[in-house]
Amino acid sequence: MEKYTWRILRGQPLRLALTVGGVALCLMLMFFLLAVYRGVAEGSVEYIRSCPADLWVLQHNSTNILRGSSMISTPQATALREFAGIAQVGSVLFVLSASGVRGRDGTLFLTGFEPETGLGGPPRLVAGVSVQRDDEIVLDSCYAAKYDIHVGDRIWIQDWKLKVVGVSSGTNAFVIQYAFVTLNFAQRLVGISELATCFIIRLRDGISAPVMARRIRMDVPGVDVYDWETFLTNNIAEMESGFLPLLYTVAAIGVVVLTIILSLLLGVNILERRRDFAVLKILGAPAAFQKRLVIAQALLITLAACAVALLAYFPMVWMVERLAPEVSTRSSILQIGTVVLVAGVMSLVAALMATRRLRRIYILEVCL
Amino acid sequence: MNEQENMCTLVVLSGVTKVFGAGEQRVNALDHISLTVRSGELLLVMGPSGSGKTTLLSMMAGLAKPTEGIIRLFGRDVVSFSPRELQQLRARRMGFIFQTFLLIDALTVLENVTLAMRFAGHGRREASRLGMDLLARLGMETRARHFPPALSQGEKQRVAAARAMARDTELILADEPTGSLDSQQGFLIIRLLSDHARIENRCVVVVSHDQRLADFADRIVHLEDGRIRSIENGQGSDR
Repeated sequence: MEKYTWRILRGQPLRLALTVGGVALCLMLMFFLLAVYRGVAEGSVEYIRSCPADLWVLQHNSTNILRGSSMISTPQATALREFAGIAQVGSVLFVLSASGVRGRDGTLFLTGFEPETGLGGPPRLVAGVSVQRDDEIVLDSCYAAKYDIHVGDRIWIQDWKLKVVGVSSGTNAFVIQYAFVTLNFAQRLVGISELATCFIIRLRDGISAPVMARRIRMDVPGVDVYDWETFLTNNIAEMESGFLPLLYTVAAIGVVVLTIILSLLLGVNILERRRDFAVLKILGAPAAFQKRLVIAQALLITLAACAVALLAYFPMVWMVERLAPEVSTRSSILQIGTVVLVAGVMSLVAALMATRRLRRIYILEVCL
Repeated sequence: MNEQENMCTLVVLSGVTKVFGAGEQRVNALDHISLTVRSGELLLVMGPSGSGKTTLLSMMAGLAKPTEGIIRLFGRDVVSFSPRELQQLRARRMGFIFQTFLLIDALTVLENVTLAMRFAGHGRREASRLGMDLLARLGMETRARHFPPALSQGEKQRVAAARAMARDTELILADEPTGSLDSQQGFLIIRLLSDHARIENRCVVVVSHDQRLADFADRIVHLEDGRIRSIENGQGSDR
């Protein structure tokens, strides 16, 4: 049966190539969407994941830093430093800011931190050093690559010209990239001194984070306190709520379109081979055998498309990441396996839809 | 009807009428046909175009149901068969040969023959061995791996005959099997079918215009306007 199926498909090489190509492109789209999703999902929270915080303190009712504004006052940090069991407190101020380099405008997620503690600063440096002075900045590596900026170059942040002293990784949130400046500079930029978005707290060894969180909530008015894991989960959930529906919609449309196209193609193949199917019927072929022929065609097309998609996908990703460095993708065997599995199910559904045409092939009409 | 007779009687048509269309479009394709088909004979159905030959054949195959009358196929009323039972009947007990051969072009000669055997329940290896034996008997063993488009008309019909005979079915229904062949090839095919009927004690029903086939038929049914005009013994019955 496999031979027969292959010969049927091989009989129309151009159609086979177009179908396999179309299905492969659709699978590549799914691979890519999932890889972008993981890239964004991990990239967006990489900063938080890498931050050596035991506790995050934000304004009351603020749960994350990705899509929420929190405003707290830096003197509260001074009060927190007095708590027994707290080793370090770092104030961080996030500001969305316009940037300009060599006449090209961009936007940065400026992270103002205190160089003395380093808390909230760049998680990993791939070039240069961290910020020490108010006229210095560390840029994300994707942003730097996109605008061709190197250590030692200068960049406009609104009306200030800052010197690029370092380049960081793990700070690409896909739609925007982190940049690191001093807390002083960030406060000067918004025009409010003593303003912070959050405090990052490190505890002394042996101090319980939940116990300390409860104490801060009781003693410091107007703040919420999260341990590292809860805060990370909050931010992931926030990112997913904005991004996942879009991803699912595009992926679902892709799957539906592909299923319909594959089903139509298999239907055309059945109609073109109606004489053969009628012959099979008159020879006493069981209905299941005829269905298996169509299903085998669908699976062969999908298998070939998976192979083509896998071969073409990695060079395509390499090219996309060169052309658009901010597009960060992460692929895994599990993702690829999931897409291949979905493709298999999709081809089965398409084949079953197409096999309805078999019922409308009448032996008398074709053979006698 | 005694048991011996029952075993030999394959198809019985009793007052079978088949009507297509209605009103002014109404056509009586078959009109009160009564006929019994037994094993061991080559029955030739002749008649002008439109006389109902092919309709008769399709009724015998259980492909169409009668408007009136009863068709008993292998001892059972044809309307009592479920679609699955009819499919199994076609797989195991009936063979077909067509004027246009109806071979599957994407399968080799051997695969065309063995595919039908697989539906009848033969294993792959057994089907392949039996298929090769049969092709050898028909002088087609060297063409076993070829595809139908590479064959001559006569070769194609020999493959079609091999496909019909391969399963050792009790009933072979042939629609104009010599219609596309020259006289020599036609002779070869009808000889093959005639031998199959007599030597293997099978029944072959042939629908044809070809007068030459009368030399091989045991009985000849003449159809005209959907009615049996006459049934005569053919020269094949003298052999």
